[in-house]
Amino acid sequence: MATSKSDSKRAAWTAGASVFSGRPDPVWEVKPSIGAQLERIWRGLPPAEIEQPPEPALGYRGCFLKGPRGHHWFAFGSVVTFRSTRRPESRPEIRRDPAKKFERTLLASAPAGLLPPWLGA
Amino acid sequence: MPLRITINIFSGRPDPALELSGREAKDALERLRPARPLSKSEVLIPLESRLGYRGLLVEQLGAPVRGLPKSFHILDGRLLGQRLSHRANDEGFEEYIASRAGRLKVGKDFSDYLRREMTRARRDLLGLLHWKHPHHPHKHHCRCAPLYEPLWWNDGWAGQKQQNNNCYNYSTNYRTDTYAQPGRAAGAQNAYPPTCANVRPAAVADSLIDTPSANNKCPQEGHLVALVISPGWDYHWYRKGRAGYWTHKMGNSPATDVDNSGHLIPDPRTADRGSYNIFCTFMVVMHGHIKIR
Repeated sequence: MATSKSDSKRAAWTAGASVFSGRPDPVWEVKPSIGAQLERIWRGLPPAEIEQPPEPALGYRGCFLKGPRGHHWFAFGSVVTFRSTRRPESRPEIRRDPAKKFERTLLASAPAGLLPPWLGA
Repeated sequence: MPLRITINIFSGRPDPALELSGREAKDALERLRPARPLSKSEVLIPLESRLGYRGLLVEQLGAPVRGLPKSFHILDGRLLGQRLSHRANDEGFEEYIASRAGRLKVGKDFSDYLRREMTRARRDLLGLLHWKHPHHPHKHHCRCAPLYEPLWWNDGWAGQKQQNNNCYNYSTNYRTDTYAQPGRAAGAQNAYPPTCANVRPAAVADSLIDTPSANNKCPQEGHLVALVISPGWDYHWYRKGRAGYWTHKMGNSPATDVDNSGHLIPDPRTADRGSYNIFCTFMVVMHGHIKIR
């Protein structure tokens, strides 16, 4: 069965939050318009040459966005890291996001009630 | 070549920015010229993870000068940016900016406040240079407990083991690559939200032995695990290691031997567990007896 262009576009962007330990982490679809907005935010971020901050032991540990063409972003602690899953050997690109605009926009795209209220605390 | 220099110092309110142009900008760029490259330990110092002064963001508002990217950071005389990790020609550049901060409409004592914060940041960074992960003891108190071998589990963000094995896999020392859920192998998995009352019997159905009176003591056979709950949302498991300390793995994140405060875990009941504030029980895993999926 053929898939319509809009269907394939809808499936192109997915997001998730690393927040649980035992149960599977929440994952949701992201509208193409939000995906494009997040790409614009990413393009406007200044580069950084710093490592991702240490992950806290339990609780919120960041969120990710998977886009078309194997693009993968991970946001946490004012830093956004970009990787291409098609070129896993390549060095990740790190940018700073002091206002956490990328992370906040991505988390705001989650359906209501999917994420715990203490997320980010 | 005009420059905008943003002082990263506030958390809630917007950071103040200073614009330099003409001779002042030319002078600043000369001071910012890259000198010697930074050593590896100098580059890795985190800039973002503290409250207070976190450095200056320098943005070249026109065509960038040779040797410096369009935007970059400076903290404690260290330049960090794309293809840039060097000492600044003038390592006192931040003090130079502090002396000009009086013209910012932030508050009448801002220059003094900025200088105090810069001093505090330098002191903290010095501390970070010498910070080391707490020593994990090797003395064996629990001879049957699994070894702490994080490198075996932590095969990276795209790794099969790290991504597909959660706290339940790690605590039972049983790799399934299925993100195992208590009770699933026995057909006794409970619906969410997880509670002590429904996760405990689900784990017992997988043949873990509920031992609420274990009181952090190693069993004669098998090893000890502990179940905690984040009310309404999630559950989490720890396992007691051979040295008597507890370790754990958060979902698809790397296994670790420290709690949310960065301390080793002698007892999960007293560890910093974030929102997982309900301690349910200790259980014993008899090696080869359990089945999880």
